[in-house]
Amino acid sequence: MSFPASHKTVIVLDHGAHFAQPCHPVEVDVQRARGPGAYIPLAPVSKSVWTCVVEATLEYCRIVWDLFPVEKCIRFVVRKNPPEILNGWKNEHQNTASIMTALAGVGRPTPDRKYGAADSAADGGIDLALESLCEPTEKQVELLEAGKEVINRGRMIIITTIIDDFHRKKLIRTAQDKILKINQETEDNDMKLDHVELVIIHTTPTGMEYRIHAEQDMAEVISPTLTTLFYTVTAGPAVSMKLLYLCLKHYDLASTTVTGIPMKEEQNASSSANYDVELFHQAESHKRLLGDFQDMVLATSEGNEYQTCKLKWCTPRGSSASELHHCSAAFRITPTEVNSRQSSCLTNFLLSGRSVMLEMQRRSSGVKTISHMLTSHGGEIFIHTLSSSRSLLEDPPSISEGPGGRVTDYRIRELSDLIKCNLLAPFFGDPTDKTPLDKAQSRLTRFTRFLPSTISSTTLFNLPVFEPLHAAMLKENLTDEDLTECRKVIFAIMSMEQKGEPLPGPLGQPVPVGKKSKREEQYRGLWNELEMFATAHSEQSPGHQAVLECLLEVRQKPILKKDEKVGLDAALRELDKLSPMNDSLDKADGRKRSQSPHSTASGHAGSVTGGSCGPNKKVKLVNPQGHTLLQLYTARKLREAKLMHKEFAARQIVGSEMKAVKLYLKLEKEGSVGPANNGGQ
Amino acid sequence: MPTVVLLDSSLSMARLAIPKSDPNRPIELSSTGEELELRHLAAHGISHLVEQIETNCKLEQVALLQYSSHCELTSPFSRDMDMLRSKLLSLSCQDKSSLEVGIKGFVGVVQEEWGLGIPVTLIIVTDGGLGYGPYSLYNIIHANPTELRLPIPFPVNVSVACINPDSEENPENLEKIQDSYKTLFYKLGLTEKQTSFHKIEGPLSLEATENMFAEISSLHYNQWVGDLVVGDQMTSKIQVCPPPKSFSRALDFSVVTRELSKVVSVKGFMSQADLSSPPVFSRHLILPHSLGKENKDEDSKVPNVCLFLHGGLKVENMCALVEIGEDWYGFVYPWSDNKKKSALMLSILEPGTQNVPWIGCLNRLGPATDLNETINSPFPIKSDRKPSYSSSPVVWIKQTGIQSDIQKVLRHARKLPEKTPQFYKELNRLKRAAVCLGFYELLEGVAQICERECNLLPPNVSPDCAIQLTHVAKILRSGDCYDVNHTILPRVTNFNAGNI
Repeated sequence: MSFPASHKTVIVLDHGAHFAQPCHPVEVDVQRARGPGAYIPLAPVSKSVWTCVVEATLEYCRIVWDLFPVEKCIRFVVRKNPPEILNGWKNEHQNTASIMTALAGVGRPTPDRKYGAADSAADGGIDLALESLCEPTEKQVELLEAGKEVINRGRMIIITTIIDDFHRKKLIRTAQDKILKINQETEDNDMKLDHVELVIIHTTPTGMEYRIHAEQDMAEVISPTLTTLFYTVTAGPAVSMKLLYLCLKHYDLASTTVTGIPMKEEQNASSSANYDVELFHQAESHKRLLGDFQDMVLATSEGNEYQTCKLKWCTPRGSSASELHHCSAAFRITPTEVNSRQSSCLTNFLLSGRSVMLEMQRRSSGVKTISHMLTSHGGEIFIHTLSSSRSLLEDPPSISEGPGGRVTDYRIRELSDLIKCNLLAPFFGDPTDKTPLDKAQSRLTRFTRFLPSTISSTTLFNLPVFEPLHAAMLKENLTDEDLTECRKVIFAIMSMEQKGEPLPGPLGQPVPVGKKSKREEQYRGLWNELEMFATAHSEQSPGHQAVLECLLEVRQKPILKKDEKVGLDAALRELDKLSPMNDSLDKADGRKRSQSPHSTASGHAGSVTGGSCGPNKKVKLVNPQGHTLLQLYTARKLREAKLMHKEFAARQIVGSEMKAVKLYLKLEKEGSVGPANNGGQ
Repeated sequence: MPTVVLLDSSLSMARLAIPKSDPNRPIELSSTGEELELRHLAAHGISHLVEQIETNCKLEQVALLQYSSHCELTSPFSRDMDMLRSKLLSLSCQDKSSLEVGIKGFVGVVQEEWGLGIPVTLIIVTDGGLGYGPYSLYNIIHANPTELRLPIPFPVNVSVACINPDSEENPENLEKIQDSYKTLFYKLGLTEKQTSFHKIEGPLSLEATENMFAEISSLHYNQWVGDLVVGDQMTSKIQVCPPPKSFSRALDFSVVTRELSKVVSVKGFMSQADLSSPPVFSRHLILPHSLGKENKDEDSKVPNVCLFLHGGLKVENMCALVEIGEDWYGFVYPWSDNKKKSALMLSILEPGTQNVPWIGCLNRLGPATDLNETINSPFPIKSDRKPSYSSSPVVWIKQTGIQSDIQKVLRHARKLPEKTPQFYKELNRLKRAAVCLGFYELLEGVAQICERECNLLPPNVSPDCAIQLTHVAKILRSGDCYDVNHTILPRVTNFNAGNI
């Protein structure tokens, strides 16, 4: 836990007469290249010290906030009378737009204020800045609320004009006294000032150093709670350069120059010239690659005090973005010159969704390797550090060399469909729901509970008739239509069995007709598979449960779960309700076939071929539990009645009155062959 | 991590393992039928070690170096253990024992092959002789190395296998040898955790040597075997190579330590394009766990969940998000180094749920079917921040910045009244920035430029140009302008009335 000082920064700006001085002439008028008339350009306008300082600090903030979405907070204090604080620690205050608006409200300093008078106001500014460092940030509040340790470190950057060394020392003493005072007053409070780094930047238009005897850029330890650094800089663009240097130092950033980016010229669209674009990002991006910068090609950035690492643009090929790269780090970037034509050309290219590889040349060996990737995600640009050295995972053995490698009939297509049904997405449901990911997992569990991995290990999934039931069962909830569809499938399979239709074999080929026992075995396996499949999904919804029940009834198996739940009373009641229909059902025994859409057309033919295997089947199906004949008979009647009941919703509404009987009669007529046939044997 | 076996091939390795003076012990012979010498024990031990590596760490690359007064790369880095074993049969003994030469050779071989970033295991097999003169171990510990630069520039774990009887009759005091190596480790800049010293228990024999090497292999070459679980029924025993390590790192505000669970549990799936190369902590190969060589053939014919999953993921370029510990995730995906071979990989993210901004909080992902159907992928998650490069901020640190902003205003000015909205938009942006920066001089500068433009207008432009430019110049000089909320509005004229 480092609790870095960069978590909290207060920038203190002078608002005295010194800062009102003009310091830097700017040519605003440019000679027009085309168009009418030559003219004498207007005289340059002058930036004040204040403008240069404000620009520099805003640029400092722009870089920090582009690179760090959270946890790097900056506040502004203006040393005027009374001192003014421009923003808070909260996330919504941490953006340049709000700072700019606040600065406009402050206005710029006026030259008529004499020094001296502003002195006390200046101290007030320091007090205010230190007090604001005591206020907790959102992150600190979060830690404190969680009862965790917090070390309150911060940095105070004062940009001012100092008269002499005495004045500088006085400034430091003021800060030191205030820190002591704060820490004494807030003895029991958690938010003491554990350490403050005081950065003093002295700037004047003349660049005069007056009488100051302080080392540049050297940390001077004043007390255990205060360290100070001192910088002198001529007012003007140099302030920005100094703050850029400090920004890199304070936040441990690195500069990378992407070299050789081909760009089309506006005037000459057919050819392209190569440009370089400089970027900032966390230095960690290079450190993860090499441990340090020793082996990188570095160059001094134009006019700046830091070094930039040169990486060569590699023209992107194909779909490098959709491929997964082995990447050890990814950090946000921001261009050094955000508005330059080259920078915006690069950023627009990346924001449009393309990515580009960067090539690094090692200084020691001259070996070139692809080391980084620039790409954007969701509107922000990142630099990815790719692994470029040799790894143990080079040339790994193929997965097909190991266990399971010689199996060739994995149901890959089906698994990939399942994968597509179990994709993850951001959860926008109930925000208090803590377990969306578990929800996804339990869905996946349901989908994979019964999933044969090879084609040869399943008959059910090779059966085209099964598909509608399969599709319906995978749904979260079943509609009445789905339920009907499922029942149809079950009956269709039953009808196939009774007709003795061949099933697809292990390789999808139909098993030759004639091998009766083999086929029976196959059907038995098929029913078992179907039961396992339905069981796997049965807990999803009452609809899913109903499909399982339907199946179990058809298979004449006790419905274990239902029995436990419903109890004897309910079962009896159900029995009573259904009893009037028993007779008619008895006659309508052949209803299975007539209901099956596959068999109605070829009802007769089916019954003839299927008839021979009928009795064998019956014996096998009826006796597994060793019930008495009466039990079997009533159970069967009951089951069939229930099926009929549910099947025709219209009948339910009408009730079990005359109309219902009529309906049965009609059915009976159509399906009269069935029971007669069965009964005859 | 790659392994280097550094074998002492000094003449002392040719000593007999069993002194002739001991008539009670049966004579053991080496595999080639010679009388057993120390070098045979070494070869036997190394082949035992190699066998362990082969079964437990399939991807391990092993090199064999021999040192005496010069260093020789007997077998370069390779996964082909048979090749290494074949070299072991023909080990010969040279002259003196110069360990420094050996270590130098080791550093060179590793740097050349692996660079400085990859941790390496070094196994020194020796009789423990300190040697004499320059380049000897004796010289390193009592003076400074002759040529070698210390410390070793890459991470390394060292084990010393000392083939020398640990008995009181032994004139070479083993404790002294061990202390010498301790000093060496210290000089190499290694911590106690990175080093180990192993000696043979009891009298020298093939079996005792084997035991010592087993000790070493259990230190460096353990298998990591766990379960890959999809749902609760699809499971498979897997081996993960190289063995994943638990995580411990101090961050800005907390110390994060995590233990790896033995279950790699699939939570759901994502397309590889959506995942989009996130930064990972470590990367591993997933192998279906096999029980040994004997049933290799049978094994390969039994369907395996890893293969099944690999196939399912590969056809659609998908990957599976997996949980591997408390608030610790990774992803499993098919990967091929070249086009022919494909493997199943596991990449482990750093612990936590917010490491990949474009995926969002990992435990806040849910079934995609919960979303109302959309054609577009829900990823990447759009950032709610607008970085400076996509919000065209005003940066006037360089002169060209101001000039191009002014030029933009003037370009629109010449196309008034058609470009009235654009002209005033750019003008107000410029004005607002000038006020925020306290750059009031610029307002006057722009006013002058506007006036000058009036005089330079070509005859074919609309009269509105001149009217608007004069209007703007007047307002820019007024005090109202210093208010940040003040915007300059177009002057309504006969020419632009329809356009505002």
